[in-house]
Amino acid sequence: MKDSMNVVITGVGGQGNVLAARLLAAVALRRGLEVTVGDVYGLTQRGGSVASHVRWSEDRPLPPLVPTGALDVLVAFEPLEALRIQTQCGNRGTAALVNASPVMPIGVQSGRFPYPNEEDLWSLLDSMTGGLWRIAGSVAAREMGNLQVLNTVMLGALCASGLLDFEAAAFEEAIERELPARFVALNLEAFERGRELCRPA
Amino acid sequence: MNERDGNVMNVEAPERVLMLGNEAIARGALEGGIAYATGYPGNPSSEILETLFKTAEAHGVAVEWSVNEIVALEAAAAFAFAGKRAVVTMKQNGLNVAADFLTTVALDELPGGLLVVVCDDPGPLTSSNEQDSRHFARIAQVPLLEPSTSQEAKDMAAYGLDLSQRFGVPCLLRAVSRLSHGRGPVSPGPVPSPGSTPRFDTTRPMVGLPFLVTQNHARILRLRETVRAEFEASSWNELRGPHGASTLVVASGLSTVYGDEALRRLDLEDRVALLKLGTIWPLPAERILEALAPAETVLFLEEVDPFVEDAVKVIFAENAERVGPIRFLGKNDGFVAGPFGPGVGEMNTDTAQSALSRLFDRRPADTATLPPDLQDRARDLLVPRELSFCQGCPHRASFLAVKTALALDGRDGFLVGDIGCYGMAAGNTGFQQIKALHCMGSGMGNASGFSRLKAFGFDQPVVAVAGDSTFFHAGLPALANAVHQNADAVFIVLDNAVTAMTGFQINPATPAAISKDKRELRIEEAARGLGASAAVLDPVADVQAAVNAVLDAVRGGGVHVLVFRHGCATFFQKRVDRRKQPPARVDTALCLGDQCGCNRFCSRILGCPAILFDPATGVARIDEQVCTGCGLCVQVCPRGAIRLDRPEDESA
Repeated sequence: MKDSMNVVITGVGGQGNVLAARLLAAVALRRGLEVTVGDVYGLTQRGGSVASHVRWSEDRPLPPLVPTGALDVLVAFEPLEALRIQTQCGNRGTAALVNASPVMPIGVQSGRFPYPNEEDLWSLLDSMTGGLWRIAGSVAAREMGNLQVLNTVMLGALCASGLLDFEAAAFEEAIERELPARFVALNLEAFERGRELCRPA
Repeated sequence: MNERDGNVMNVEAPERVLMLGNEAIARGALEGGIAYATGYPGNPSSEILETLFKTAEAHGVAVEWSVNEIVALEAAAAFAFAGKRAVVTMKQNGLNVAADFLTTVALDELPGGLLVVVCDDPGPLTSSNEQDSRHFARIAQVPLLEPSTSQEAKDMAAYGLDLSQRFGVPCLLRAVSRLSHGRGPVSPGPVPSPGSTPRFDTTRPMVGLPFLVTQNHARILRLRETVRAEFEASSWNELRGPHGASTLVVASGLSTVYGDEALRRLDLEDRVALLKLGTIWPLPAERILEALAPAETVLFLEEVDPFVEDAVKVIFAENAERVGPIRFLGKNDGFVAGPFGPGVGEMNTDTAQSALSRLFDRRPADTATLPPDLQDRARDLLVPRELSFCQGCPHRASFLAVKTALALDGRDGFLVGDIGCYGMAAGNTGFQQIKALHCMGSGMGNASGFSRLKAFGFDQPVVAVAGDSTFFHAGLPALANAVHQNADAVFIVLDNAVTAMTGFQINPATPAAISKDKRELRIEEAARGLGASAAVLDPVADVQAAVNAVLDAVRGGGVHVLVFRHGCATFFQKRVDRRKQPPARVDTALCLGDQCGCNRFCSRILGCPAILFDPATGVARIDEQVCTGCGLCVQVCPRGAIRLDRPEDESA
């Protein structure tokens, strides 16, 4: 087997990538793996590009960030951010799960430049990756009445994709262990919704 | 941050938990028996004290955000003077502030333990320099530890406190952003119960009188050799890889894991030895000489400066008869270089790998890199997510007021500032108003000097800006100087109640209702006490009044302090009753869009994340989910097309 696994969970500040990364890392840690998480964020509280690098190996601590070209699995809460991370550290074999709903950068909102043509963006993502899942994560989260659970919905999709060797029960246990009690039921439901949104390759 | 974060302090062995490097340092300080923790917030160091605040009471530890780093260090030292242990935390810029005390307390023989944690920000993610703080260990002649993992960060913090007390010397622990903000598994150890009652031994004064300095200096140089002897046997340093290898990598702290990964990716683990160093000052010279003995080529991995590289070359030169000729590769010869050149920016696996790739002429086997044509197509599509003040941020109103006032004044006036959220006013979100930005409080000192340029014919108005916390950190001496020198200066203090940039810490200006047991200090009272005139305004409630106040101040003489007081929108968002603070809305019948002549002022110029230009309808639109209802856009729309309506049904 590969001696390390490199996952990046990316999105826009406020979408909850840090928590999703902690849950995934908690699952890997329970497996007895050597896990490292590196959170990348800039100056702003909200609206900026953010990414959590979750890496593990059988036997030794890894650096916090995925080296150029070494990304195995990309989980993106936003399509433009998927492209950003894939360009930074992806390769032709990277598997990508991407939430379909864009979040407009401030420069787009103010009309200074356009958001990329979505057809171009998705076709480019497809040719840059070794497998692309387009996940209706925001739609599912909104149907649940809470856009805040997008991160757990996407974790559910990641679990169902079969890209990682982790059972649903391990994620559910992590949700129960790591989250404050009052958020557990909601996030378990979001996780189940996410699993329904994805089929294994 | 998640609410579970506090729980990492409550775990017990043998449970292994993921901790931020900073959480691990906090845990290590607890296990090292601290009674006191101080610091000044600054990325990437802030989470250490944040973590300790959550458990302070449970473990009987006093924790405080001090007004600045030197006060934090002086306060922490008092505990060490009285036989207790204390930790003090700061970012790299902060160590400069604290350095005056550090270099003098280093000459004392401390009865207690004092750990100084400095978190450097290479390739700066959130800093105005990328200084390598390891140099301070050499300047002050104090021991320096540099961890490579969260586990080591915890263990070294506890060890550093113990070392400090055993040798009576302050100990430095240096982390870097990726370690501070990276999570890794940690096995916690026991937290000791509170020790003896503190007492200052008046027969052993801690005084740095000149005639005592030379003897104390000589003593700490002897002590350095005692500490070195301990480090020679320390397990923080480790020689890994094949015995007798002709190529050796020497790595400091976190660079160890970068080197380790690069060697594995290049399949060089059987050919290259790696000397992991965790005790960086004084360096374990004998351990290094043993590792150098079989080596023909030595490559250094460290962040930022060639600190270990230089020191190892001195050890090599002093022992030339024991080790053969060696080719040294590092930052001095430019062999180890990131995208910005040698000695610039972060170390990472890519940089380590690129140096080793060239040395051995091999590439990693597993990387199917993206072809250049795909990368080019991606770059064409990748629009940026620019930095922006948050929705409802009072700084937006403040800088709009300054911009407008300086334009009305018409003498090419400008703004000088410093670091904090408001530093983003050097960019689009603050209308590119700040023209000089350096360190805490620097704008106010600059303004004091600009005033004296008038004697040389300088006639541009200068306005200085600082935050509430910055005012108490470094603004007070600059203000005193300006008043004392009879300067003409305008100081705007952006008082948003908390230290927002670093995570909403409390500071002396924080209202007592939030800071609870702390006493609130009023910026305007301090300013008046120092002889300046001072006024308080809310720039969000009445932006025109703020414009007028700035204009009057720049046209008048003397030192004027304008306190722009409005709470941080992001901090107070959860406290706001949305029924009383409804979002703004655009009256589409009144908004003329591109026909207006306002050049889409609300969406394009104001740059609030809640305001969109809707190409479909050709008029502005407010995102109700995002809008905080601050009302700034209502005041600036020339058509009066934006309104804040109270909902008709309060019970809805």
